[in-house]
Amino acid sequence: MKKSVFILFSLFITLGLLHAQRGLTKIPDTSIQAQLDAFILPDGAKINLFASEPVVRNPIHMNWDSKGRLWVVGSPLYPHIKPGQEESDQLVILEDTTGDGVADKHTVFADDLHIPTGVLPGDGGVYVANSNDVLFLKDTDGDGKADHREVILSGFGTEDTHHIVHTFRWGPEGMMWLNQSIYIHTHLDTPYGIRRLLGGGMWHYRPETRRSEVFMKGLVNPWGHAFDEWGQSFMTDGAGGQGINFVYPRSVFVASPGAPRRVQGLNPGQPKLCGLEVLSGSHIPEHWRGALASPDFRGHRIKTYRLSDKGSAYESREYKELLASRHGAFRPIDVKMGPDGAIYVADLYNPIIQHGEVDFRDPRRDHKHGRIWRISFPANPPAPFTKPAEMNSNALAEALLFSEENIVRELATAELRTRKPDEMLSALNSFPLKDDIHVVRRVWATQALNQLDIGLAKQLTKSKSHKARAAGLRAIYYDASNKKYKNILSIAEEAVSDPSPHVRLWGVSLLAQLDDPRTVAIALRALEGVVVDDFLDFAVWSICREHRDRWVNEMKTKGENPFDSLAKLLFASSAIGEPLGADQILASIANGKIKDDQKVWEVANWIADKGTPAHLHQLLGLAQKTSSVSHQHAYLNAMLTAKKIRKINPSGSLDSVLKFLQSENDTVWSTAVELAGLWKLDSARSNLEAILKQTDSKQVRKNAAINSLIAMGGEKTREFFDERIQNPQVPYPLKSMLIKGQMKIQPILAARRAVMLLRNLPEEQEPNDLIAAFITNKGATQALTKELQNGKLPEDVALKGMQLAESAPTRPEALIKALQNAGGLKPMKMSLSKEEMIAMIERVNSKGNAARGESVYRRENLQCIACHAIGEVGGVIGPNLVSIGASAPVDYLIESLLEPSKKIKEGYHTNLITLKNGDSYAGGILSETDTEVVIRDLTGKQNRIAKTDITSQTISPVSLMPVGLTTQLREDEFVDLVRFMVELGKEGKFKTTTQRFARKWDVLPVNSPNPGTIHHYGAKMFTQEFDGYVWRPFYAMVGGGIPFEEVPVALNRRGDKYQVLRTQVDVVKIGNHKLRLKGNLGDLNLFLGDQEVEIPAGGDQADLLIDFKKAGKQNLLVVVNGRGTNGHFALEALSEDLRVINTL
Amino acid sequence: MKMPSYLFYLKVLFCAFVTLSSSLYADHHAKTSASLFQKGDRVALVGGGLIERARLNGYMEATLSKAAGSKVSGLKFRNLGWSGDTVFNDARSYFGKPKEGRDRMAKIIAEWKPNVVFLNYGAEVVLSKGVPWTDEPSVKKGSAGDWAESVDIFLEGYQKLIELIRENAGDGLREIVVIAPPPLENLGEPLPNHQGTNQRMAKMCDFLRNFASTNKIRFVDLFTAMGGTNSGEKVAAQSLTHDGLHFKDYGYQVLAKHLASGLGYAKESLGFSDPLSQKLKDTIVEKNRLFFHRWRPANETYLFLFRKHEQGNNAKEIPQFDPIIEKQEVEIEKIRDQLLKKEAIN
Repeated sequence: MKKSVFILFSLFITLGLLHAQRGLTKIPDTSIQAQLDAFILPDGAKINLFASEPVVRNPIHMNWDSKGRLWVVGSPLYPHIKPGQEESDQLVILEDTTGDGVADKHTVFADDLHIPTGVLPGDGGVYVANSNDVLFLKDTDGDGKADHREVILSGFGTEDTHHIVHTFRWGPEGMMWLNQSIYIHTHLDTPYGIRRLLGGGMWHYRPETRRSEVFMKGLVNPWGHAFDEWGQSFMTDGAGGQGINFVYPRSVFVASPGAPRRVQGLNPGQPKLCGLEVLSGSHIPEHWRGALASPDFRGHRIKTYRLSDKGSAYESREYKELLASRHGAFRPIDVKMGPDGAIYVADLYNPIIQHGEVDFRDPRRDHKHGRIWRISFPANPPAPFTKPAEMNSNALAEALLFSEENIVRELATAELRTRKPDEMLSALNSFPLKDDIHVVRRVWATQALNQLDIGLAKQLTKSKSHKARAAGLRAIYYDASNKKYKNILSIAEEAVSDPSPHVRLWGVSLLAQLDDPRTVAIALRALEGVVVDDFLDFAVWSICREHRDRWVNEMKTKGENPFDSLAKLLFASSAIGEPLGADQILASIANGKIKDDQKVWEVANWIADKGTPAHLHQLLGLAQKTSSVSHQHAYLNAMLTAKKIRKINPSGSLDSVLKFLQSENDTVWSTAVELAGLWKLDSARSNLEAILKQTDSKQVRKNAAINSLIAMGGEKTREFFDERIQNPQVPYPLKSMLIKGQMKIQPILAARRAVMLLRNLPEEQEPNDLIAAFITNKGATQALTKELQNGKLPEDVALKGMQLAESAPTRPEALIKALQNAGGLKPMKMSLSKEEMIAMIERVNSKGNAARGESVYRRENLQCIACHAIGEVGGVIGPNLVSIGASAPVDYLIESLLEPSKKIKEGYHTNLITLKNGDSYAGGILSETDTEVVIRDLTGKQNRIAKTDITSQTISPVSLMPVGLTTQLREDEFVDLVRFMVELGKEGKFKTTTQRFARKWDVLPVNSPNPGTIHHYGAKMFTQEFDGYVWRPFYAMVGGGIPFEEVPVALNRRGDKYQVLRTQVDVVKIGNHKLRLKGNLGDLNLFLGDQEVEIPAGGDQADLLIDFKKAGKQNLLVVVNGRGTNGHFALEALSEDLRVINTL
Repeated sequence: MKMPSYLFYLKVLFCAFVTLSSSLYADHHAKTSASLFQKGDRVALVGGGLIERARLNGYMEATLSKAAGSKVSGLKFRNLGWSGDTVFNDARSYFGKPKEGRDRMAKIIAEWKPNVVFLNYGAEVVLSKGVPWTDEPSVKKGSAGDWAESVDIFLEGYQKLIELIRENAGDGLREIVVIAPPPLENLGEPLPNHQGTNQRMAKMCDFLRNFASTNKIRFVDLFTAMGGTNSGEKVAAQSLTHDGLHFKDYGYQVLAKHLASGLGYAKESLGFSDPLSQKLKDTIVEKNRLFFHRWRPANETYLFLFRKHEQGNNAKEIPQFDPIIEKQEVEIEKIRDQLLKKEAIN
């Protein structure tokens, strides 16, 4: 490997001279025609230009007014104003006066804005996001331009200009909704007190009362928000990658700072999305109606999703693409239905997006162009539209209640707010209402006038339709804290026991707004009698915390469980993380009332986190009594956590833990041994030393024994370790483990021993583990650095050390230097000069082969897949690369491969935690409480760290991606790899489609053990339950196929090869479902569970109708049995009621 | 909560001053007769949303600079208001705890080295009944406690803020002015009724008066000046605010006059009906805009914080605002000069 490191760089240098004159800029053709030629549309659709520069430039957001005019804000100033530059961004009103689908009139309403990211006409003027402030602009003299300017809200953060306040929308209830992104810290002075939102989230604001409140928190870049027809909120995220997010009051999502718990989105593995609109109205073909459309701005396309009810929330499934483009500057970032029923798309127009990774002043950034596109279906007539602004009261009321066009009702809502409330209320009341949805709309209309018809809203909560009941609760929710209305508690009380979990969710949300002391006791009822999903569970968990004082005070006063069951007390106590009622609950375990595995773990973990030493003492007793290995593990693990995180021991004698040194279960044994060490039970010592002396001890036991002895410490430990390390009989791997242990108590000695060992590294042994251990501890790093100053290391060992050190989040510069000197290495040159970069880009464009690049990408030793997903499948450590090619310039990709730390994707910054003992942990913070931090490291492991152990917590400037991964590649391989990445997400073969391929597979490794029944069962043998099958993850290619040659040969029986793959499907409905199998059918065997599925003997594609007799998750097994098969195979679900499971 | 001794002292003082509190613009500063501003003063305006939004219309600054008179030339103002701020400087922190906000405060004071500092805090405490008004970990819970505890926390924090300002401003700091917040307007349904708030605000005003007196610093009672009373009853709705709390442009004009008057400057000739005064105000607004981009630039994450290793090179542009601001200040001085000369002739 040493050789390959330098091949690439020497090639760069020669290449560098060739094409130095070519610039870096390859700007796409800016003409309208070039963009028109590049669009890909669904059947029957047509696209036309509605407006473009110079009228609109870099449009960011748009909304219609009740006169049917489109208000658009754009920002050539983005990403940052230059010294001396005017605040000159514009708000433009576009109008199609002739009805031909093209804007023929425009008015510049304001031209003195600073990065306006939201616009919402209404209330006789327009609300505009203007960085720190939300403005209300108005034209008072009728000349079409704003002459009145008022700051409505101020105190929005601007820490990142693509995060600033955005995504304005009127809700059906007449409030303004607005969002902010992850880096923004907002502090609003309001007449109701200060309101703060630190991080991403969504606000609502009622102009009449000037009240702003936070609705939900989290999401990285929540750039999309839409209401469905029942008024439920859905959001998209421009960085989170979970597709559609169902949000509800107090829900907390990814990246919310300091959140101990978060709710997940509905489509994990989706690209970054910007904007959200429900496709609706009579103009568009029926099959599109109700789909949620959201632009994938990196992938130059608009994706759609379909929702269906599921539990208390929804299920979202990917639907067809609404629009795609091959044009590299097409950046759809907002999509809105228009008054004529067509779909309007704001195109930021920019080959460069974002400004975190690409320089603010990069010359390729576009500041001139911008387009508004219109998608229509010429075979259908335009939707009927009367301007709500021109309707009389009756017509307006009728439109609000009965119009089938969403856009009409939306614009009518804004118009309604400008009319006389009394007149409108009587008009609204003059129509008899038949359906629930019409009642919902009337309730909304009264609320939009800030005169909620509370009687009607209460009536709604008793409707037949569960969606109407939920809508009624939501309407009351907003006004509940006003304390104007009576008997709200009884409404909520009824709702929490509703047959529908969705209604329960809203019942709990409503309770959270009320002052009553019983709110938590009532909310807990929502958990009974239905399947509780995470959304509902979260809502109840959240109110237990928010209203903690109410029930805890009651419990303390009365001295008894304030709820009617122990299970409720356990839930509530765990939610607030306090051991209230722990004695009662532990007694229930002791007397066998609680014995369910999951409950026992739950209780044990809770005691670990919050229990007293006396509670831990009870756990130790329980561990002695139970014969269940899982329960033993739960209790021991709880005591270990309590020791590590909270530094507390069980009260009383600890010796009884030694009983588990007899356990046959490795996990139980190891946990007990670790405890014995931390509790300093010296009597365990001889037993542990014996484990380390026996050659056949299991690895896990050896590890535990080392940890335990180190924790015990003392002279005996020091002597034993050094004797073993110096003992020539001890093999390298064990020595390496022992030194890693020694390092924790005697770093200087350990460094000396390590260098000695590394100097004489046995053939075929890897030094990485040992060196890496020294790098993760500050003291040990210093010791190693010092030791290296006295001597040499073999070149290849030093090189590996350097690669590790270069990618270490702690950046140990002194060690890097010492390794260089010790190995006689030259500094690693990872950057390219400008000329080299130009040459490399040219090479990628002319010679790169994306298909070959994909196979490089998939190589096991490169580890790309382990950290980066492409679409649904792959690791989650690094950013999803699904549309990286469509969004990132080539130089950026090359640079990121060579110098991972130079540009770090938003949300993938490494947190670096250093402990008092010098240990460091790097990775992403998963959750955080007052006492601990959970950090996920590069290997995906979750580490719990006590806050009391931490000395510093910073954000590392170093990427988690190891440096030098690509150094093992030949130059042509590197070029192919880059080319593959360049193509990712662009129109063509390397864009993931909506076809539902099985992408996440497990395979059996080469020469897997097997039950030896192949002669009897044939391929069916692999469906048997067998302990020796160790399944490993394996992923399909971007196109959905599995290359035969990459699949390990699990069994090679005299040249008869078996390659075995397994995937899972979720059967929604029992019955026949269609699957498509592609590939050389003659070599394929397919099994559903242990039943073989008949497939045609020949050919290369078959649609199989398979009878699924059970619902839920089931295994599909493919055995490839041929002699050297080439090519690919693919498995695709065709039936809607059969889902492939591609997530873990 | 433990009562610190100086607070106890304050409360004793409070009784003694109750009788005085009806005198409208009481100034308990030791140097009552001396004018606040001196030639070349660097002035800092510090507070929450009331101060922050003043930068957008310029009336406060323009009024004060007119009031200072022609003999006091070369005044320079920096608006350091920050919406949602508290005496712990919550709003000035980005990714960290309020302490980070404190540090930011210290930094800008150390850079600007003001001779005069105006401080306006208190409304945020009065408005937050039963909910925390600060995230400062040591006092967050207490700030949501009862009124007495909340006020104690506030005054302790205020004291520390003043100490921080004194430490960082250096020897040139001559005057600190504590401004009692104006009352909230009752604009009628559906906006909230602020009677209770104003009752608390009246008490807050008294606390602040005593606080200023103990610290021997100037005090301006905008609460009483703008019509606030002890009963908190109907504050004459002059529609000076949009929403009861935030002042309109006209409201700022009125407020600015009262501020100048509270500092002992004559109220006459502080209007803005003449074009030159308008021009002065507009030029100040433009200076404020430039200064905002200088001290609170967007994209801080990239320019100065944890992503500076990516786009931190762009931070070089930020000091380039300085010469532009200076130029604008020369212009302000020129207009002010013309204006005051003209007034002298009239």
